[in-house]
Amino acid sequence: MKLSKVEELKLISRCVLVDDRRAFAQLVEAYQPRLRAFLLNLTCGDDYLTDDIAQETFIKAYYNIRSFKGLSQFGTWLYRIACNQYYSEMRRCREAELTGEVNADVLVQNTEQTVAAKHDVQVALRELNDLDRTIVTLYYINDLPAKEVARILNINVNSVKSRIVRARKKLHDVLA
Amino acid sequence: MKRKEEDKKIGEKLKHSAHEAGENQYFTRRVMNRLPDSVSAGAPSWLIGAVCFVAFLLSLVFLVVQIINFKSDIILVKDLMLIGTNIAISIALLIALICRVLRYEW
Repeated sequence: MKLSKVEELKLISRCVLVDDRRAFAQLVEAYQPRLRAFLLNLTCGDDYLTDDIAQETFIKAYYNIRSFKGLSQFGTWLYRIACNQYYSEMRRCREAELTGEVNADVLVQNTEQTVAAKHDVQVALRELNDLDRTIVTLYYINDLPAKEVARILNINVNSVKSRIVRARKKLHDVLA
Repeated sequence: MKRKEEDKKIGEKLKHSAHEAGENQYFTRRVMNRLPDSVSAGAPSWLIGAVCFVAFLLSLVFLVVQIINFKSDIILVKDLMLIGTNIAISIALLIALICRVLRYEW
């Protein structure tokens, strides 16, 4: 389900003005496939983590929809929330790893996934750091321009460009 | 930043091996279930509906009173305007009421 710009704005204003849950559900329905696909690539195929982060993203969007000024696209705004949510989740996981609070099941699951991900491209993506992987996913897989990527991640365009060049070199070695 | 031929190739390869999110028909429902209950669920709609209804009844009463008083030999422009305005207000309130009722059923 793809919404036109006008339909999208109508739904957002209904959410803001009268807390219309059906309008918000329509927004979720329209954006969830793209957002989940994006997060699935960021999490290297972890379905559970993807769904968790995607749900949190939409809930945060609901709470903060009044702060959406319409200066950027709603999708861009959602991607930004998703990225922040993903980074905080990764930070939390790393802290848990350091303090030894990592669930054994998660480790087993991750190991299985690592074994399953035999494909070189996936391995190359895994080797990139979180920010570079986000940039590569948005730029190469979601086909967003560097400007849009910079807007989503709230960083300088030149920084995005230099990171793309660096990531391209790494990927090129693997893909060649 | 223009995409070079190399960029396009990498993009194609990445897209080819990218993970695809399977359809999750319960996702939206799960998100909606996690949203907080609205504190004033239905209150504004109910209030607006009630106000519209009372205003509509009042405008009808005024309209009837005006029509009864209208039965005189001399028709004044002022009376015509008053009745016209009252009819317009009644119709507007009726439309508002219908909209309210329809919105509940959608």
